[in-house]
Amino acid sequence: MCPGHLRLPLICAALGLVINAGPLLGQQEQRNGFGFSGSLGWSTISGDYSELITSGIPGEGSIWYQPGWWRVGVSLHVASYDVVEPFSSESISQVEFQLFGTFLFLRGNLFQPYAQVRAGATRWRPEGPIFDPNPPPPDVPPGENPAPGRDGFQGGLVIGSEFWVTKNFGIDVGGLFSAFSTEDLDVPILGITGLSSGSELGFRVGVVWFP
Amino acid sequence: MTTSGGTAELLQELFEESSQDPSAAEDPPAAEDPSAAENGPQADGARYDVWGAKRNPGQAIGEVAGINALIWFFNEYIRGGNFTSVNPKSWWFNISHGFFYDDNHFKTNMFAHPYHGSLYFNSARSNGMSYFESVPFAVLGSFMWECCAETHLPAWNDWVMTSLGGSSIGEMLYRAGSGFLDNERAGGSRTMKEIGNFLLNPMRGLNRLTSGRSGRIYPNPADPYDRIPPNLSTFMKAGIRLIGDRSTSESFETDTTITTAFFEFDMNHGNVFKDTRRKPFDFFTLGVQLNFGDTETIGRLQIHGNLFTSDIAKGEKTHHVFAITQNYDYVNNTAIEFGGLSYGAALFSRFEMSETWAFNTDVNLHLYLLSAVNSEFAFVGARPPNTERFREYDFGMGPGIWARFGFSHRGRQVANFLYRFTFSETINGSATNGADTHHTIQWGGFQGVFPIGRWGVGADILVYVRRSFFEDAGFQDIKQNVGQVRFYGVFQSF
Repeated sequence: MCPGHLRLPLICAALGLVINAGPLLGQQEQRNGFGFSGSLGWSTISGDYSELITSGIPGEGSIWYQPGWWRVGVSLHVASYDVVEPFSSESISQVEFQLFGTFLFLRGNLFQPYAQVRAGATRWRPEGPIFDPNPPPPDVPPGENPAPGRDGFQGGLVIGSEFWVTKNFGIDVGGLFSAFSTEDLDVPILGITGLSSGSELGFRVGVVWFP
Repeated sequence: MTTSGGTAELLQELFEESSQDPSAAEDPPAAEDPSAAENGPQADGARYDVWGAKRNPGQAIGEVAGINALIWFFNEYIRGGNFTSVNPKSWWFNISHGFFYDDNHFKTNMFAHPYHGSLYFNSARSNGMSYFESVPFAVLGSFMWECCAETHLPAWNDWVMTSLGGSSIGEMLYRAGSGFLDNERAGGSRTMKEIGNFLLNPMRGLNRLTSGRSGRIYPNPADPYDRIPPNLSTFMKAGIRLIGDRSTSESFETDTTITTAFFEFDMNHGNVFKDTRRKPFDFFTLGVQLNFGDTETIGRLQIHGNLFTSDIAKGEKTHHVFAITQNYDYVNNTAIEFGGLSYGAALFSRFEMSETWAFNTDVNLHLYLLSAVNSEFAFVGARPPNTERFREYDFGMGPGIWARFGFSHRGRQVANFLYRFTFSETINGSATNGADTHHTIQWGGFQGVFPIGRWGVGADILVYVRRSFFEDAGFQDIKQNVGQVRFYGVFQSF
């Protein structure tokens, strides 16, 4: 770690490097149009849901349109979160459909820092023996889930940067924060009732692609 | 477009190449229209196919992912499936645990999945790509589904039937849709044709709609093989059928007979002897049979398409043609479950006996990458860990052969003989602990039609014999005999 009095200048220098990376490393064509992105990451949970789950691995796929400095699109975000002890081998799934808007602070650079705001629907999906209702509901045919998902909404922010390897293909690294609220989730076997809100903090690494 | 007339006129109107003369279009086609060039680069630097579809693999990938997302959404939010909690952990689990054989219903595995694959295929096909270029999109789309859109372990049978069966159904639908489309029309008839194509081939319809081509007037493809091939023939049959099933072993015997109405549509897309262009599926045969009152309404779907075709010998009275074929089979009725995907080497021969009569043969030696055959003990074999039902059919692989012989009068088949043999070595199902299980399936049939103009009356008889051999001491070998007789009226619309 660097001494405290050097931290701010180093951060400023790093930011300057990022912002000026275009001229240093060569300009990229300013592309507009439709594109795709996908990422994997890691995140932790705070709030009500932290009573049930700890950390998770999210994955995300997006399609977007970029007419200029803004990029707007939709994404499907899915994640698996580990359940707390003594059921740490179990997991609970999360699904989010999001609308997002991304502002690109720089365009045409190899490095393109951005800020993304997003909001949408969330579903937390308990699936497995510890979540199944007891007794099981009648008339659930094979193939259907006896434990329904808990629906809600969520909103969040992603701060990150893209590194464009080629004209059409780039690497994306970002940190994300989001908060969510859902219908109540009860897990009687753990003595947990009324889980209804929480927040996620994590990071993602992925790819961006202009086809 | 005519507004009166019978079925013949209506069908003729829908399919007919009525606008060969560009003056029939309300607006003259634009000279710079992309469809004027065959895959050539245009002023915008992009490449277009003969229908004016811009070559766009990126959009095709997006559509493939979109299809999977949409079906996953249906399973998760509407159906409430217990296999939809997908996430990076389930993706890794599926990839690392590899492929299995699943326990879905016969119709799901052998018909619904191939149709699903046809959507992937046509995402690419209607974005400017050729047949062979589109197949990988079906392969990758199916893999994406198997690995990442459900928590069930990936299934080999799904991958084969969705991707390769999907390319058979997909190309058939693409070609059939091309017969509906007419870029030079306007007004209500154009709308009806676009809707007809959309129903046949939703992904192509969607791409025409979003690109604006569904409403634009511009030239049809210059080569008729890209739209309505010169030697297209279609037949519709309706009538009654009697099917009897007797299965026997040392200790049991079953005997059932049912009578149902049926409707059948057959298409010969081209003529393997007369066609002057021989791209993949320029020649294919399609057979669809609907059985009303049977266990399943869609009782048969068979698509046999030529991937590669070449003359071997062509004389004054004889003509021999060699072809590599891709064969999709689906037969599902009260007595028979048989389906699969095979590739074959075919010899088509034609002997002209007189000015009006000819004798045609078609011999096809093929290998099933995957076949499915009804089997009494299919439930005993290895099943996926999340099994939810007992499968009633075996998955297998093996060779097969068919031979068709027919007499035609003035180009129309009037008498046909068929013999078909399939050997299916069970790879999942009845086989347990390394024991050998295999099935031999034989089909034999005769069909006679008496033509009266475009109409005709006909009858046919088909015999199906399945012998199932079980090495396991606990199982008795089984012989299943099925006989079917049909009486019907025929209408030749082309």
